[in-house]
Amino acid sequence: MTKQKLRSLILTLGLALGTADGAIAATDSFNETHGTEVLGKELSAGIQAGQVANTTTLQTKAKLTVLGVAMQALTALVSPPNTVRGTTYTEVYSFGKRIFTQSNVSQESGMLKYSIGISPTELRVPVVAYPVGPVVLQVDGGARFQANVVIQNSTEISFPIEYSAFAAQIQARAAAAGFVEGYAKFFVVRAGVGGQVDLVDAQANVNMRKTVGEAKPLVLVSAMAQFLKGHIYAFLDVFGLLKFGWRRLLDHDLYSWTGYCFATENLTCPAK
Amino acid sequence: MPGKITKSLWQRGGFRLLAGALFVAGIGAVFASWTKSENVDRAPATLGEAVPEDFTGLRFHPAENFRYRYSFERKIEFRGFGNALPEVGYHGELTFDVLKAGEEGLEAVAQEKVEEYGGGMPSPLVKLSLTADGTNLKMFTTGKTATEEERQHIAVTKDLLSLWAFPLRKDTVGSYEATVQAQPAEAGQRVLKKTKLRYVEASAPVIVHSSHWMRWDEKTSLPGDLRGEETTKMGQKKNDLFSRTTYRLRLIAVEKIGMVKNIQFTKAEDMSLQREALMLAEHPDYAGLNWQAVLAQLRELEKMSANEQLSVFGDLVRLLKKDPALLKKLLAELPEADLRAGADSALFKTVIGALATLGSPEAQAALRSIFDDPNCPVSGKGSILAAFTTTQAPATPETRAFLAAKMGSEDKDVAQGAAFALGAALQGSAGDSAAVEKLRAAFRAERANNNLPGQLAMLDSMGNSGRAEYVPDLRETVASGNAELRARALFSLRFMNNAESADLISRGLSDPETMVRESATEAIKLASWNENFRAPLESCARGEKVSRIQASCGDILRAHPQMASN
Repeated sequence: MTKQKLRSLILTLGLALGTADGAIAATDSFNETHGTEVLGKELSAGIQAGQVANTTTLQTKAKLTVLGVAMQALTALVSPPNTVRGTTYTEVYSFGKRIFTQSNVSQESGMLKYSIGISPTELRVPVVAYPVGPVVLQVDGGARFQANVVIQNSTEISFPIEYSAFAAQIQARAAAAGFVEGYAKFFVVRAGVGGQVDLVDAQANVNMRKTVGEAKPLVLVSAMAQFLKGHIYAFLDVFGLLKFGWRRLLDHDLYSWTGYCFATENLTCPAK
Repeated sequence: MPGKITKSLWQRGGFRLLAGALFVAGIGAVFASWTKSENVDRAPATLGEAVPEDFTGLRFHPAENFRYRYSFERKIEFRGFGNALPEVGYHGELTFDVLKAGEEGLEAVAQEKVEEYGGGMPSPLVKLSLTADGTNLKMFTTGKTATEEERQHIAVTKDLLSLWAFPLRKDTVGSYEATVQAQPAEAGQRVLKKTKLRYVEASAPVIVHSSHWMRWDEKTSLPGDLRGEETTKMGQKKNDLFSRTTYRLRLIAVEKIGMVKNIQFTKAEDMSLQREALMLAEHPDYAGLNWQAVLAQLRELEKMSANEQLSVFGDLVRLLKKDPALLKKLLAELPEADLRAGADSALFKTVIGALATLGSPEAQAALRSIFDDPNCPVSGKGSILAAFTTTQAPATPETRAFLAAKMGSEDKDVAQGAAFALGAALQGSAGDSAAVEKLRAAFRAERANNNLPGQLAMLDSMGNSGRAEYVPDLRETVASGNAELRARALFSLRFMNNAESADLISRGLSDPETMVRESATEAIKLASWNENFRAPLESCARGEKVSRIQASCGDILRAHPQMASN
């Protein structure tokens, strides 16, 4: 075996096992969605990582819902080939728009790696309007999201050809927060809502290795996701006569929580 | 900020402050006799006769150069998040000086005086134009910069006008559906009752109860007496906001005034009350922001968790919106080391993200400049292009030209990223046919070369745009023999939102190829809902043989339950 092929094999096995140092993951999929309600509207996040059923495509997805509006914040797909000298397709979408694509024909053994850095972005959702007499309390809101996705494909071409193997990995780190803003003022009364909830902070690694001669690929997922930590509040102030300043009459937590955490067996959620 | 309010209120005298504060505590006594003895729902004495639905038949036709004075009373009770809160109430006078009146309608200048605020100081003038049937109201102000207090007076005037123009189906929240019924006459005067059913906009609050009553004054051809009660709510259970508002307007005097002074009213006013950016500066999440503190946090980003970084990013965006002049200071804070690190630098990405989110022409120019910096690596360019693709801010013509030029980049990733960003930049805008043609020409060139990956990428670019000009090319590709191309073309129809694209996507649900059917479901998830999707989705949910596609069809149907027909 040549040095190049040996290196490729080691890397391929390392990818298949989850990390370069060989830590073992223990599941073939990760699918968690958690949410709450604020002002009668849904606030939630979902992380999905694994293999698309009955295909060899790997996927990592992040879905957010803010004030009832659903957004597909991240979809990363890697479709390795089924044959030697086939094409590997890589597709990344953010908020429904294609931001990255790659297609590579595997000609010889080797590894390709792509990094996609999705800068923090803020998307606003339609306003919810609430009339109180002549004043309209408009509650604005939205999501903030950022992610880093590293995609690796490797090919090891061997003879006989049925011993050739393909490996693919998606490493995704995604974080999203939902926020609300609302403010109304009518002479000596002012009121509003505000705050931010960390909808999700997740890392998910999906690894796949498939030998040409085998029917099914080996897929391993290691993932950890923390959900719904944060604080949304409402307040009402009245301008006081004697003190000539605003006096808080109401200070109410619409949502306040330290959040949940879920992880595959080889990862540990941080202590609270 | 409280100091600012103190000075402005103090200038109008302490007595007015006293009046302003007292209303919160005890104004309920003003309404006590009215609310106890006159229940809106019992106003018609008897209901012996059948009443037709949706009846108005009113003609607003007062006399020119006359002043019509109304007294008004308004009370608001609200409960927020499980707590009972003090009532808010105010009363005063609303006057109309009629400029013109005829068969088509009337023009008048309206003004209100609220006794509780400013000691009855009159509000700014509002000119109104109302059609004779009372269903269409336009309003104008003088366009002079108004103080915050004057703007709130204009809000009060809009609110009162929306109540006074009884046949109108629009208020300060938005348009609504309502029924109007004739009631038995009182003292020979026509009486009508209006019930608001729901607001047209889905984001508007729920109307729990609505009852509006009007007695028409035949002598003046104007409403003589109006009263109403409305309850709205937002939220559920203990985290709800519930309000009950009541009002009364009564015509109390008619006076001849001679010619009305000629004043220019140049600014058209919308009935709905828009939150102003200026007011948002007083919001606690904005008021406490400090540039130096955010700057210090930017320098520590690498030590923070991803969500902590997002929190700093959010504060940075708020600061830049509040004070656009900070943009130059922000750019000065981006050191060369972080520029060279590109997407590996949290500071670089946060600055890029803030500029793209802000989206002002200056911010977009800064992004282009960073992109073209020789020290900016490919990863950084990729992040900038991705930011241009996902931002909600409209792209300037300069940015669109920039992206079109970068499609010719030698780096394939940069060229494709620029095409994706250019497609997204065309979404929601009309025109720029040159950019539309550039993407179309690039797609056709790839097709002529039989370059499958190139065609797929250009289909994605067209799909990002949602522009209907691409439907013919996509239709042609959907009919092609290549399953990958068919699937991608179907998905590219997702933002086009017209009948033909909806029809093509729906047909894709019965394509013989699995990837095409799956692509159709993904397109429907992102498209604006169209009822024409329902039947093919139901068929898919019943009989699709690939379980994940069948599950997707079911999920989409559950997210769009069928509305019960009335």
